[in-house]
This record gives sequence, C-alpha cells and structure tokens, in this order.
Amino acid sequence: MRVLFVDVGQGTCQVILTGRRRAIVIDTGSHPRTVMRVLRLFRVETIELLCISHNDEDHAGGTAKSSSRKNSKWKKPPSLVMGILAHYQDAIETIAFVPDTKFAKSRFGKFLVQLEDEGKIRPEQLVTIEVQATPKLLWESENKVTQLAVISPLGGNTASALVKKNANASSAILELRHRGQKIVFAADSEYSQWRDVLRLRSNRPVDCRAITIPHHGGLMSGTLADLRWFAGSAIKADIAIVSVGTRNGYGHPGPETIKAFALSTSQVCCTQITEKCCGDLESVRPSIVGVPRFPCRSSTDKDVKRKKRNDGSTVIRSNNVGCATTISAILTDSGIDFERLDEHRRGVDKLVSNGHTPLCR
Amino acid sequence: MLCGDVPSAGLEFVRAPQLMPIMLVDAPSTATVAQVIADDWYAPNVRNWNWFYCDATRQFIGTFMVGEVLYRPTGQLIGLFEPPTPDISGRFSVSGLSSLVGRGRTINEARADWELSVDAMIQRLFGTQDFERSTDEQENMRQLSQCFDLTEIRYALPLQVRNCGKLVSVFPRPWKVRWIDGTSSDLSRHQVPAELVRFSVGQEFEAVVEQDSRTGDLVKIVSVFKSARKQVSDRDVTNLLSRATSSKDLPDLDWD
Repeated sequence: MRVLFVDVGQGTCQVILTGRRRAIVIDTGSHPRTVMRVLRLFRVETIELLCISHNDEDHAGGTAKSSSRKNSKWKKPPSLVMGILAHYQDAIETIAFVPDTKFAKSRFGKFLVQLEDEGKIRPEQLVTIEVQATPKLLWESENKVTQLAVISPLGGNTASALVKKNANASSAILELRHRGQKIVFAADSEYSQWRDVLRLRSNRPVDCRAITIPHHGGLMSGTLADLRWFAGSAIKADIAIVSVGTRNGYGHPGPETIKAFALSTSQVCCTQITEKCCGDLESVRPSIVGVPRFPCRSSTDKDVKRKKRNDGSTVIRSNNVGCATTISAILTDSGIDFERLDEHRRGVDKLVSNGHTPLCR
Repeated sequence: MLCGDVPSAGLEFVRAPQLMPIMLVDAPSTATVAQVIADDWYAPNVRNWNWFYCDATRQFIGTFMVGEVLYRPTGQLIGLFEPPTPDISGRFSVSGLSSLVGRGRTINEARADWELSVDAMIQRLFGTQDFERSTDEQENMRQLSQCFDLTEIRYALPLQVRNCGKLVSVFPRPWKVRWIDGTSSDLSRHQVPAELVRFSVGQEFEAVVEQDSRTGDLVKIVSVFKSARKQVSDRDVTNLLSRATSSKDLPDLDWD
C-alpha cells in the first residue's frame, strides 16, 4: 500500500492506494480537481472509504460554506467531495463523516440523499463518526495486517462542538496501523480532543511513525503551553507533516508549532513552502525537492500575485511553491517507509546555506 | 538493406544484395549520419518512421503511435525479426525488452503486433501500483522505463472524469457550465458535444469530461445526458442520517 499526503495547497487530503485500483480518501482538500487527478492518474476505480474529517472548506472542499450562502445552489464554493461523488457515485463503498452542525444543510448531505434516491448508495454505506471509550475499526485490509481506526471525536467532543459551532473541535482523528507502526491523520483536531484521547490512554503518548500536524500548523484554539504539551507529551512521532499552502491568509504554519515539533520529531515536512521559510520563493519553484514525483498543486509555472501597498510600492507574492510537495509512504513487510525524506532534508540544508531561515531548522 | 526514401540529407543509399552491412556511397561522417537519425528520431508528429531499415531482419524503432498514445523511445532501439518457418510465425523483439514479442508473417506485421504489445503492457502496468506488482511485472516496468519516458506517456492522455453540471448561460457565447464541485467552465463550440447545444439554460446534466492530466483543466465535454435530481430538504438529510450506520457499532480496537 502507498499513503500519499497530497499537496493540495492550503487544505488537507490523504489518499491511501490499497491496490487493485482501489483507494481510501481522507479529506479532499480545497483545490478543485487535484485529488481527482491523483485518483484518475493512478487509475483508481473504486473508493473503498471516503472519509471527511469535518465539514470545513479546506478539508471537504467547501461543503460547509455552501449552506450559509443565499445564492442559488450552483453559485457555491468548490466542493471536492461532490466532484468525487459525482465521478465515482456507485463505486464508493463507504462514506464516513462527522455529522456536525454544517452537515445537515450542506450540499454534501443533500447530494447523498439524491444518490440514495437514485439507488446509487444505501444508508448502510454511510458511517457517522463518533467514538466512545475505545478506538473503532473503520477499515481493514484483506490480510488484516493494516487497519484504519478512528480514535476521536468522543461523544462529548461532538456535543461540545455543536454548542460552540466549531467543526474543528469534533474533527475525526484517524490512525493507520500497520505491523506495529502508525500514521496519525489529525485533521483540524483540537487540544480538548487530544486531552480526552490521552486520558483514555492512561496518559501514554501516541507513539507513531508520522502525524499530520493539526490545523495546518496553526495554534488549534490553544495556548503555547497547550502546544508544548501536545508536541512534547501527547505525541511521539518520527515525522511531522504539515499540509499547508504557500499563500494562505491564516499565517499557517505557526513558527512556534513548527519549532515545537522540530524539537520533538526527527523531521518536519510541509507540503508547500511559505515566505516565512524563504524570501525568494520563485527561486525554489517548483519545489525544494526538485520536480515533484506525484501529482500535486505545486506548480512549475510561475504563479505570482502583485499587490499594491498603500505607499505605492508593489509586493509580489508567490503561490503554490512546493516544499516536500506530495509526500509518499510505502507500507512494507517491515513497517512504514517514507520516501524522499533525504531529498527534503537536503533541500532544507540548501535553503540554510543560501541564507534563508526555514522554520524547521 | 536500406529501404524507403531518405529525406533531403544529401546522402545516397543503395540497396545491398545481402542483408548486411549498410552500404553508403560517398559515405558521410559518422556525426552526419547520427544527426540524420537524430533529426528523424525526434521529428514531431511522425508516425512509424520505418524508412531506416537496417536490413530485412532489423528495424530501427523510432516514435510510434498506438491509438492516441505516442511512444517515443528514450534511446536507440533496434528490433530484430526472426522470419517465420512453416511451423512458427515470425517473431519481432527488441533487446532490452525481452518479454515483449510481436508475431506476424512479415517484419512489418510482426512489428505492428509488437507495438500493440508495448501499448497493452504499459497501459496494464499503469493500472497497478509498484507495491502490488509481481517480480515479472517489476522487471517489465524496469525494462520499459529504460526504453520509454513512462511519466510523459502517463501524462500524455487526458483524464476522463464523470461530472454533474448545469448549463447557466448560452448567449453571449461561450457556453457557461457550472459544475457540481462548484467550479465553472466557459466552453467554445468545439469543446461541447452537439447534445449540449440543444439544451436550454438551466438544464442539469451528467457529463463525461476530459481534463488535462497535468493541470486538471477541462479540455472538452465528451458526452452529456440530461438529469433531473429531486429537490432535497434539510429534513431529508436528517432522515438519511438517522438511517446511517454509526461508528459506535463498528468493532472495538485496543489503543495500541
């Protein structure tokens, strides 16, 4: 099996290629068609599991915002989950999602009803994600060597998120388990969820091969003390992955988050690079690891936006410049092997030698 | 022997009575010959450069096309034809691609069969992932990747994707389509099928579209058919949720 942490710009998307033209999709990112390119280029014919961690635009491609707009239903932000549903329709075996406040009014929910009406899906194929005291088995490989477990949200998290109208606080946290090793897909989960997970684990940290840093390296509605606890005590990971876009309006990734994980893990990899790490982004285009090996949002072509400042000067801002771009891990008989990490390390070294100050160093 | 016309290279080739060697009158320098080969090798939009026969049993493999896919060798490939015997049909093979054999009565027939075999194997291997390939398949992939730029071939064809859309504007041209994934496309006449031209504004439809493999941009709509999905209320969604499976009912796992 191969796990792809797809570079979708600002957003999150992971694809697990399970073989025999089948795949699991965890979130769809926000850029139209990137995930579809991945699936079609790898000739995926069946989606074994489509899992939407929460109904935010950058994870489900706009399913959430659709409900709040008063425009006609066709004038909505991109909804990648809809694109996948439209293409695969009856070739999706299971659709798992968190029924947060945004879901009931979303086009995603409505399209599911329409597909059921047309006989293309059955209610039994839909799984609403909620955990009680133990992780739940969401998917298992035929040889039972690899499992996908959901460890959060707990019932309390979901209720609290509904009250606060904060979809992040009930994000699904998934664990891919393979031969004693784990990859944790943390989506936009919050510290409150992790404290509950740690409590149920008798305060044993989650030991994993890799984790996707929640909320694209942002602060996750917490304090620096929460962050230090999370990176230092809650998680014990070899690799920390940040799915982030070069030009995002949120200030992701937070320098303090990257530094905290740089101290506690052996390597921090972002899918795209930001101005915080390199002042001249066009000089490293398409990515610091060279030509991307897998489909990604990072672009070889110049992608810049000129913005006039109040003082009359012009600022040029680059977009979609890759750092590690789409990151790949192979599940082997001995465990989980990440590919091209050395190239990423060398790319960061080169940035440092060229006088830049990447956050992960 | 040399067959066919050699385009304007200033060289003169003669047919030799025997199979080998190549005979050249006023033989040009090796560099000139190499340049001629290279020029034709990389000539764009050329199909089946068969003119450069070495002899009746060998063929220089240049760019060839099978269906819509262009196969451009990355290095020099020479095909060898073993003529048929009364019991066995002729075999065309290329050193370095041992598992692929084309069969036919003549060299051209066998070569055409070989090209089809290359296409079939590459397209079949593209449908598998490296981690699921057998030892033989891995070896085939290794050999093919040494002879062809597989990445270029993978990206050469547009992706076909099913999508749902709505025609939102017809005049002024171009046709404007809003897709269910929230994106929209302005399409000229050559990008839309005739059926779509007959649709009136507001018509919802399902379509098979072609997208650029590298960028994901829409190339054209291949086919469309009308669809009319029922209006759905929030209550319908809640109702569906109540019938969905809950992960609470899934098997328990340990924490580690």
